[in-house]
Amino acid sequence: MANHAILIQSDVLAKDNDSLNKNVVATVDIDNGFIFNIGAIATGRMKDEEVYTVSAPLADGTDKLYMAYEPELPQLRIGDEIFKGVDINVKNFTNYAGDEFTGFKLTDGDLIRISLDGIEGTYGDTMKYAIPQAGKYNLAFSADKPVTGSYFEVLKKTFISIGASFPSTGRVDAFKLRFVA
Amino acid sequence: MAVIPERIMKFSQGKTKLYTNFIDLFHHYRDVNGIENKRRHLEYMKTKKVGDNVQELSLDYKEKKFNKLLQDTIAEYANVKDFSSLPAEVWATNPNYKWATFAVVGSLIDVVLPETMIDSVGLYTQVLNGDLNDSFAFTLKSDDLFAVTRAGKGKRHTEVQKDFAGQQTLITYEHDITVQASLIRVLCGQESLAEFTMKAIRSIEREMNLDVYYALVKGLEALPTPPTADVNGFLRISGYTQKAAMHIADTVSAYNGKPAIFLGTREACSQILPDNANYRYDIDSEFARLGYAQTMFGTDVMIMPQVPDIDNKYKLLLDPKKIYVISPSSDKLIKLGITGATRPITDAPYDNANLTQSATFKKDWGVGFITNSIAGEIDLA
Repeated sequence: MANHAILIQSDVLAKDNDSLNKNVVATVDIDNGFIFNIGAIATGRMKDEEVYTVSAPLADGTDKLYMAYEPELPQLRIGDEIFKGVDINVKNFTNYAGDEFTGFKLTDGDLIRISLDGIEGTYGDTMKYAIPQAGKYNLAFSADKPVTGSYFEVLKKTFISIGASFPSTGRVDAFKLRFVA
Repeated sequence: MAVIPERIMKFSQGKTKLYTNFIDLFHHYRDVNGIENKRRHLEYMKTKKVGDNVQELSLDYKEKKFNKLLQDTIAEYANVKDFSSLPAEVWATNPNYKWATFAVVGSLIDVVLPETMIDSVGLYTQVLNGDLNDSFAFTLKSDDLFAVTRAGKGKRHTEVQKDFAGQQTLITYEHDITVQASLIRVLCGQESLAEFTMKAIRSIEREMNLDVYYALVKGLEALPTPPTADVNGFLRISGYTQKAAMHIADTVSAYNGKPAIFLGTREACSQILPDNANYRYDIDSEFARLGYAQTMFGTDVMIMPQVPDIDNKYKLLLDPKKIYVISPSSDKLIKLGITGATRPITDAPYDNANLTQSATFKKDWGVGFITNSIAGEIDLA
């Protein structure tokens, strides 16, 4: 099974502002660090005024981007059975379709650290940017910034530490990104 | 002090005398037979007080007492009130007696098997007991530290840092061994199911030992060797030098926060010597007496007892060209999980058409290289 993306909110405006954090629900699985636009209020829910639907970024650069960040509590799913508290590996965590999770509004200057699994493409020194992809929820490496719309600058290749048995170092490749709106 | 697994406590309804006596006898037997253990002292009772006198306890005396206790325990489980009313060979065909014998013997194996494993591979192995069909999950913390930044004085928080715990699981696999005796050969005294049974248990112990050893070998094989003579940043070297050996021992000690030791077969450890060809040892020296130095460059040297390769007569199984550098007092490198009791299945003497009698032992265990510690390896030329 492929690993899911891991996100650390290094320095984001949403940390200091309730209104920049929204309850959302998606029709597909969304990893932490995936981006989306917020849409209509979800229907058929007890708290329907506080849960919003999401949609993938657009091609025209008019996105008001939010990013998924939900505290990592992995579930073990076997068929229809769901077990919580069995698995603690954050690489197995995702926000499952139909489950409410939290998204925060990206703001110019926000700093995040995201694992390689959250960005599509092959990283090289020329890949200076991580940009939204039309119709897709994950970012992609790019040598150029998009013509219009927001994007991330790749500030540094780094790592996220996850405890692992020797001889593995437990370090997962990750990138420090700055949001530009 | 041996730990009696919980399921044995349940089986024995809290009566631990049989097991504590067995472990005492086992340690005494090993001591008398010269099976030394430098790592831990073999604890057993040497004397007992009778009135005002102190009586010495011999192995023979203990064996007789233990056999009586064993018979009594089996009789209790088999619901036999007077064991002396019939000859032993008649009792041997009683299904209750037979069941009770193997149930009690199986529980003794479960108590003593972890003990033997700790003695043979305990320096780098943690033995864990679980119930049948259990799996083991280990939480592994990251050993990275957070970065510290210089900062101005007008900002509340700096950039957020965090790390995550990882997890590794260990499952066990069933291991079976079946032995068979021919009834006529048993009656003629040429075969003994009991003897085959003892051999089966020793075979299980040996197989576990090998699983553990190969897990260690495989786990450390993943370490890269340095491309140049500079060993800085590496934990495995090809070809022994004093400088590189000390560097790896220092690295292992520093990262584990516990002293490192060199571990290998006697043949391998005999090669841990100073580079300087002018070193001298006389005939009374530790090196000449033991074949290796017990401490070299401030680091203890421990011997892994060799294991015979039964498939290739007179060959040995442990690689004499490898020296491992480990910290025994930090998290053990290998986890050995044993789940459930030893499950014996035995035929009655006349069960089979061909007049043979079989006994199968089923034992579940699993081995994994799962650790928060680091270790090194020296591949001798």
